[in-house]
Amino acid sequence: MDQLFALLASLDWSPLFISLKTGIAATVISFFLGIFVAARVLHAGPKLRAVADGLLTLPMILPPTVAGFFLLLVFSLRRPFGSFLYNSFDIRVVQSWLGCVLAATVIAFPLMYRNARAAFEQIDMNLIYAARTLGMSETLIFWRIVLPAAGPGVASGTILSFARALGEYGATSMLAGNIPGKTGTISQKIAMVIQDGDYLTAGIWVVIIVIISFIIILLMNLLSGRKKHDVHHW
Amino acid sequence: MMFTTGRTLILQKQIHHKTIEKGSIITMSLEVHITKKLGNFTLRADLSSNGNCCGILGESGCGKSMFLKCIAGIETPDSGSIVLNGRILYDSEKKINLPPQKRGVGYLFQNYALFPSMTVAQNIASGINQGRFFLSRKEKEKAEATVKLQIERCRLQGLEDQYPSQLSGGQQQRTALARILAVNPSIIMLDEPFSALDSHLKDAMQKEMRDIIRNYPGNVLIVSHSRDELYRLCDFLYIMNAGAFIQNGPIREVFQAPDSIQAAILTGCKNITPIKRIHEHLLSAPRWGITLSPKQPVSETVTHVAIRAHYFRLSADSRSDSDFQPDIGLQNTFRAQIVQIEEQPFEYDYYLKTKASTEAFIWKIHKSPESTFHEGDEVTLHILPEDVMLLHG
Repeated sequence: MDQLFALLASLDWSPLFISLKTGIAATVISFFLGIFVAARVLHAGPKLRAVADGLLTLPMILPPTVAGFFLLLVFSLRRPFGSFLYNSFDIRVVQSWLGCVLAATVIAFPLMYRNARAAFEQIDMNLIYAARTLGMSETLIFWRIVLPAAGPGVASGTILSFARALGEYGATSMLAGNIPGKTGTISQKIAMVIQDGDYLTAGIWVVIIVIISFIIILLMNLLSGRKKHDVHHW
Repeated sequence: MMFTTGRTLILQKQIHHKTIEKGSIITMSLEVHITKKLGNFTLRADLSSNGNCCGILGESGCGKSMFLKCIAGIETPDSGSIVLNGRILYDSEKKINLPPQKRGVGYLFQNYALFPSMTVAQNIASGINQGRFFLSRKEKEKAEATVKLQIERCRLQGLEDQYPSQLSGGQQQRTALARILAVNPSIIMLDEPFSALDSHLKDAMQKEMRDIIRNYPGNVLIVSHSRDELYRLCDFLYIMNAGAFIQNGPIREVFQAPDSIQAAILTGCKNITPIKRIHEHLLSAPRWGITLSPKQPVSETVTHVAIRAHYFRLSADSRSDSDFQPDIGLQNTFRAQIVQIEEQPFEYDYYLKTKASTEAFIWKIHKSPESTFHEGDEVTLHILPEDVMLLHG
């Protein structure tokens, strides 16, 4: 027991903060981008929609290491775009926290996008028609009618994106690497200490991430359940 | 040009008396001439209304909802024009197509389309000031007053803070109506307004709707497959079949004299049969085995005859003993046997055949000791010449 306390006291907490920071940043980006893209794809023609939908969902289907490979291909400092970003704007994606966020966003985005799209698709078109005949502009209709009606779907997309971004490993390790205090996320920390045979430290991080994940999902469920009235399910 | 317009204004005022304030004349008119193709279905509809409450009767899928959606701007016709109170909403030649937001059209959807995340009061307020988030204090006060007025008018007091899912069907409908009235549209269109209501609510809502419509100064269009609803609410009726209006006129006249088989069926006529013309005042209905003499002259184009099931009259001497021989020579009087009985809560449906019938016809009569018969009984029935409706194909 004393050993455990000693370990907790001497624990480097940076993976927790890096993971949370990355998860939040990736979720915020996915949230707005996912909603925006979902709305755009829905209004596209059927052929364009099929292609766009396939491309946007691909990162969810592919192994994260494949996504990591493509990201490296684009952002590596030895590649034209990567070196252009670094030389002209001093933006470095590889081996940096930005890389963590980018990798997590690419992996989490499809969850947000697909959930938002499904939620938008289920909206009763009569609500939109009614809003139009009542004189509401299309922008207002989106914010006042579409988004609230799609609320539950958007909320669950957000939860899933956050959970996915929080636990991202494959693409992150390839793009951002595991630099302690900089890009070392919880999942990378767990993998690293297990390789060293340090099961106690790994166990502590496992417990931490289980608790965080559970609290977040519980919070979201309570929030999204609060405003519903008289909704019955089978 | 100016002179003619002025004259029309005065004429319309005299006809419709729908003036709100002293001196202000509102011209109520709706002129629609549109075509729209959808797959192998074509909507080809012409309607003109002068501030009446106008009903459109048709089976589901005949294109009547599409017609309303074209007027509202939710759907775009292929060609034609839509002019509301002199304002062009759509004109394919002039390339005018106003968005729904600019048309001033109130549309009551079949499922009411209340915004589920808004309360009753928020729903009613949603269209005022184009639904903008930020309002000046003056706009806000005015909007609140409008909402309050509509809540009273549509009897929604006490429900202001409820969500649509907490309301009964009738309350939902009144909320949707209040939301429409709050934006003061030039026309109100009701799409199957009572189809989602329980039957005991329907009567009460129809009565309320009629009061609201009477007080509303603009055009009203009601689409329904129910002849009863339209008969109670409308002054004027259009009958739609397969995307086209097949008959129109003042509602009583259309019900009295449908001129085609489809119109007769849609106005609720149960007995329709082909005829042979004998001369201008006599026809025979071979399948029923009777001859009839209608009030209207029988022209060469008449192909069928229709008789409403309620319009058969029981001759007074009908129940007398079996040796009684009715005067069959009497016009529109015949003896028939009851072959089948369907009992309704308050009336009997008797299926009748004459001796020469190959096809039964239906006679509906309210239940009473005098109207109670058994299968196999013979009755003598009479039809007034004006109740024989002549149909042209």
